Amino acid sequence: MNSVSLVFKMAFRMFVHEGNWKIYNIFTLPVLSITFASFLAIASLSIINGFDNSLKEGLLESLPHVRIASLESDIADEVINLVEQEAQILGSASFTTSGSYVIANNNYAFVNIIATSSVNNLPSIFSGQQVPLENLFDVDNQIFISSALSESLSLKDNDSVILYFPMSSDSVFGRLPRLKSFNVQLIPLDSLMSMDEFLVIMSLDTFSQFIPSGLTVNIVDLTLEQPMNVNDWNHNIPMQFNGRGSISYWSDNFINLFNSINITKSVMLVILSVIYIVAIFNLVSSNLIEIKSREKTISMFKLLGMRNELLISLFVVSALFRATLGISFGVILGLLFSESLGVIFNFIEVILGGSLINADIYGIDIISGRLFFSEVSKLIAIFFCIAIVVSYLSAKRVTKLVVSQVLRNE
Amino acid sequence: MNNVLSAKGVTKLFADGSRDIQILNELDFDLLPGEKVAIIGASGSGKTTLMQILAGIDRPTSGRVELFGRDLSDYDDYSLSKIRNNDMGFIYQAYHLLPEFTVLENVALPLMIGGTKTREAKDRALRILKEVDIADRANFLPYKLSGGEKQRTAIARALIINPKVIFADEPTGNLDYNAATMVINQLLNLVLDHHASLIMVTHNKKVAEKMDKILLLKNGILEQQ
Repeated sequence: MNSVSLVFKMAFRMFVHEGNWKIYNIFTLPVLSITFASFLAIASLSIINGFDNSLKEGLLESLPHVRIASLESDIADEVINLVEQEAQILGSASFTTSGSYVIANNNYAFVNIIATSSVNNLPSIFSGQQVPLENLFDVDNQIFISSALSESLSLKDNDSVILYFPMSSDSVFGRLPRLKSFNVQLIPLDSLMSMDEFLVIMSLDTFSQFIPSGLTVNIVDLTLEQPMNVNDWNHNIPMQFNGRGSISYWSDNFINLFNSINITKSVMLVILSVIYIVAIFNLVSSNLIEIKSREKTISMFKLLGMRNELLISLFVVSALFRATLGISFGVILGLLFSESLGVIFNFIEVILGGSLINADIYGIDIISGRLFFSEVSKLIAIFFCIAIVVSYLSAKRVTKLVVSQVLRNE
Repeated sequence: MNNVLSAKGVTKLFADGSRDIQILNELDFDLLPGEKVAIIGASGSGKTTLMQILAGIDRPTSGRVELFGRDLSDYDDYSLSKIRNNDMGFIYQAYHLLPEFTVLENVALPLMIGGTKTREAKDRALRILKEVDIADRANFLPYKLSGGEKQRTAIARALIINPKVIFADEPTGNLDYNAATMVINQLLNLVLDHHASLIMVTHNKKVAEKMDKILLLKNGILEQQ
């Protein structure tokens, strides 16, 4: 224990250069280059994670997180029950619909339309509640929408709205989208659950005009509170519906995109590791220079009875002080960069007078930095391991020192 | 009385291009406990080489050196480190103090390397600094000391372990007459107090005359003066 504290004390004194706390004595070339390499690694990781995340968030806003498609007549109630069970376990919420279509009135929005239950013609709102159809849809050309949706679409009670359905119909002009005019009826928000804000309800008779005859709506889309953890849903749902239909997760639909991002990330980390290794060579050279410039001190240490192992430890620890400082500063700068990436991004766009990311291609126009503790810790651990190995290899030079020659040449 | 150090037939050759230069030639040497020996000789005569061979820092081309009755070639690195830490003190013309450490820490260092607790090592260091009259400089960094103070610090560092033998290579080489006299007197007194033997390589005849024995190294062999 005494030797350990002695080594640390001596290494620290050597690190701060004879007790002289001048900034240029501490921020030497190896420290600066390691700082730069570490910063580069963390900053790049933050950018690529931020890009990945923004892309996913953009996609998740417009896509169902899980889609269950079945050839069976009605799977909605079954899924709702299952989702509720899962929600209790996983603390997630969800809602179900039978399909996603476009509603138009100057503005466009994706809305979810409930039209289920081919057995008793009752729309299933949520949680298995059964609402008599005739209470809701007494007029064939009426459409019921939530007040929240009406605000975002600038619709008022009794407004007229045209619905475009993606399933086209043949006409003399070719294939045209089906459309129909409806009278808007608002549903007060407090009568709906929060997740049903974008609900549109219409008569099944009306709805059935827009879907091919004989085809039962049999798609259930789930929206998860934590769609990034979509894999957690993989347990029960596939077991329940296995063989009765197909289940697709949002991540599966873009597997190639996300794989390519991951490959880009891996390649980038390899390149950054090479940059780090180049930076770490500065540590090797500074350690060798340190050993060379302290040959007489090392010789004296040996004459005072210091063993080679202790001398190696001394120079390893001394080099690690430099590496630690460099890595710490690099990581701190990287974290700061990550936190302010959005601002930096905006600033660069203002300076350049253009957009750095093409929103038409990626669906996003800004990236905010994102770092994961586990990734940053792994990176720091790898950097430290490399630093320890190179420090040890360079510090071994002290064993090759010939004391008699050093002291004879004074 | 058993010799502290004994050399028999020590020869040392140095390669100079294609030919060998013989520095030491079948040299014999004995050092008794408490004995103070001066080795004098012309520059390049091999005094420092001889001292390094006697201290186990260098190895002879042939011959044997026994330290405390044991052949130095039998010591491995570990036991040599241990014996240096316990029984040998070194004093050099260039002091070789550690610039990052205070005077007190420099003196305490051999004990700390040997595993003595820091507080105890520093207490003992302070006591020996009082013996060499520089206790008031205990917390100074070496660059603030005069040459004489630096050498007295080096002497204190060599003596703190109560060594059986001290090797001093031109300890007064960098000092003026007054400082040299003071340093040598203190060194000899301390050597006496600590019952150590002393081998001193020096050019200074006046310093050499203060020793029990003066050996002249000439043509690779020692002649008693």
